[in-house]
Amino acid sequence: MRIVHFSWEYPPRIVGGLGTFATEITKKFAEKGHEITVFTMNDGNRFSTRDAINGVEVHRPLLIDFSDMYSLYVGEELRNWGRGLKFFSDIVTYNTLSSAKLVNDIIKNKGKKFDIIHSHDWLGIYGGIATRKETGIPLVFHIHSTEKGRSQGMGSHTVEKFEYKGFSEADIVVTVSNAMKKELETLGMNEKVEVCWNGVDANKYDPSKVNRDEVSKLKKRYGIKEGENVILFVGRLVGVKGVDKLVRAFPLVLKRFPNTKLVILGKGGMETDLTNLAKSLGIASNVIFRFEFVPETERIIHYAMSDVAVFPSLYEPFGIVCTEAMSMEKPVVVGAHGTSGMTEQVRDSGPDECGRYVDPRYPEDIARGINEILEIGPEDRKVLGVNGRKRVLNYFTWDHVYERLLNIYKKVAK
Amino acid sequence: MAFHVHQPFRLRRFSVFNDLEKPPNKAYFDSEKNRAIFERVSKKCYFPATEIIKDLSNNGYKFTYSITGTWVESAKLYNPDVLSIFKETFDTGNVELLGETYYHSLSSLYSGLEEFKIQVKMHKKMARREFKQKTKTFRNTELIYDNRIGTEIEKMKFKGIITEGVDRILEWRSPTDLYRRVRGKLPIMLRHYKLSDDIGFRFSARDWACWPLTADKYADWISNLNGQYVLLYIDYETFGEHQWPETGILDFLEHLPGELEKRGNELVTPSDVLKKQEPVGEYDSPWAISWADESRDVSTWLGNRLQQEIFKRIQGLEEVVSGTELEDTWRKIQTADHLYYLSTKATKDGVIHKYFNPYDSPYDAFINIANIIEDIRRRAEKK
Repeated sequence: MRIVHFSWEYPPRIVGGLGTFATEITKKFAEKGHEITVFTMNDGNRFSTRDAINGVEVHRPLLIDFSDMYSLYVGEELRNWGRGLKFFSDIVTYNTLSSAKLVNDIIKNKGKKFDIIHSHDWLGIYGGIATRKETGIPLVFHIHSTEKGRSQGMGSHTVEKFEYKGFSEADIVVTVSNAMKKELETLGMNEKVEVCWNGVDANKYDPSKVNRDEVSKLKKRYGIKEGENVILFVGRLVGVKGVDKLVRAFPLVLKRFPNTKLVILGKGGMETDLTNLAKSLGIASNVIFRFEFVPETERIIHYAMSDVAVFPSLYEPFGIVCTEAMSMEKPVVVGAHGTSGMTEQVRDSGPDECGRYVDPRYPEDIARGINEILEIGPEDRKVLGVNGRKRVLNYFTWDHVYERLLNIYKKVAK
Repeated sequence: MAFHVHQPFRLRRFSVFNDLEKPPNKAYFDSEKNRAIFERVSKKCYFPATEIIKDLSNNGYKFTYSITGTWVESAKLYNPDVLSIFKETFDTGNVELLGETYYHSLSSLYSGLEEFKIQVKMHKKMARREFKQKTKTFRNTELIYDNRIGTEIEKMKFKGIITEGVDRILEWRSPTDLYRRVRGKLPIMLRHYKLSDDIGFRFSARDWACWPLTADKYADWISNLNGQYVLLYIDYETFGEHQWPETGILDFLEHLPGELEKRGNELVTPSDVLKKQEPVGEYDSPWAISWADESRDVSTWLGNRLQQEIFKRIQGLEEVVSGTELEDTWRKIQTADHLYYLSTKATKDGVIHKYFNPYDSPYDAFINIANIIEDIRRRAEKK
């Protein structure tokens, strides 16, 4: 098949789950012999306009800044974005230039054919809709998260309109979990929605490939002694990830298991708040903050070092960090309130048991989940970890994602 | 002919110093003012106008009402006799009741549609309980419509929806035909705003070229139109309240059906139209439209930052109050009138806004409702 993606993030520029997904899935499709083209945003015009990455053809049209003009005619809601209007302008310009080049040059002039247009989130739907209209090529709209969920209800009406328009115009809508499918229903989007789980590279996230010396070195760096329990959080440090609730829960863990360290890895707006919170709770010496975006190889060592990984998100369409931790054979404690794709990855009982569900709104419940995992001891924890990796190999590898997505494409391709 | 019947529960000047311990409905709602206004409108409009409609429908003429849940609650509290005469009018069998949100709210514009669906279902129940009516045609609060609302209403199995016939969507097409929602089946019936506003706004305007408006003149205009139907949708208070009896408005109402009939027209309900006619084209509204003001959009309620802020804060209470006894209070705060009072439009529309507004300025209104929202949050979180 010949597929063109509109993905505003693409290597070397990755921001979150959307970018990881687009990178891995385009690579996989190219490996399997499909022809893949990606149009992505040239943030700051720092990258080349044409590229080939893992057999994928990448276009990055150079941007120009229209935001001063936008403020003259857009509605009040967008004007209130202030400096964010530059971002909006960049997104629209990226989409406009990309779809114009795709339609007028690559398709109409050079005669190249495509079977599918694949737009990722509202950030890539603008160009996708126009391309579909001009060429009649079927449009797949991939919703990785919604404005309502990301902003916990305080989001932009304009972005919500983009999402609904994308839903209306697309031939098929793909989302990342059944929980998201349910959420889309509450937003009025409930026909033609298909679920395609995200994946993880189980060869990369493989505990047997980890160098134990690296793990010891990392523990030493953080001042973690042998025999101490390590609780790990990885993610953006924002309210919706529940990381503040996790810090509030930690004293209740320490009460039962004093020899425990909490490692928080990530960047975000809450850095100062979290540091102060740990101090005021009197647990600063047991909480290790690393406010950095570390490379994948180092993240893998972090998973390897931990005894349990905790992701108490209030909103998590899929939760790829959870899949990574499971792939690394670690028991996980995950938020199960509201939209949570993690409940589909994790089983908290039965033969596949690999973690615990908690209500991320309540620190007491997060602590309960962590304590239950610590109580069962290292042998049983190992069993949970192995079960988790088994689930990954059975359901969450990029090969599974590839098969599923190909079937979805086939439903609409001509 | 369709009439819009509604009263909000107006708010008191809430004081964070005095009112924290009062039960919520006492602390927030101005029962004296609400009673006084209901009594006044009952005397001037609800009784005399409904007597006329009841007589006419007894003689076979058909009419349509939209009645909000908050109006029914007010009627029960302040003047149950009004409710009785409406019930008698429905009992004639010639009157249709439209479906809508119970609280006359803007919940159709929330990010999620769950609250909207709940309120539509509440209204459906009320319609059956109070008026023995099964609502089949939907009209949203202030006739607000966009494609998403159309899709949802189709899913809720309504037979059609009523909204404003907006020129910029219709272009050369006529508001006297049925249309259909984009990519769907739901028929859309359009309000004829020019003819509706001739009665609602211009009836007594002496500087209007067509003054005085008489039933035979008006019936002539309608008879000269082509199309499948003409939908006149008018604020009920036009009859005796906004237009005083001295203007002749009630006589006009009484005689119009006869004059229409003489010219070969038939008074029907929306359901009659939907049964007989087929849509002629699509009506595409990606952005929300409404019947309000000259812009016919939702800027009347969400046009400035004060309004947008309150709108978001009200939505933000959903999770906090859900399952508590504050749910009803929260929903009464959702009534669109409360956001209307925050409008800062200062043009021709501003005159109309002022007429309806109990506050001295939008800023007073903002502070008052913001305080109440915070107090609801405080009470809900205490539980």
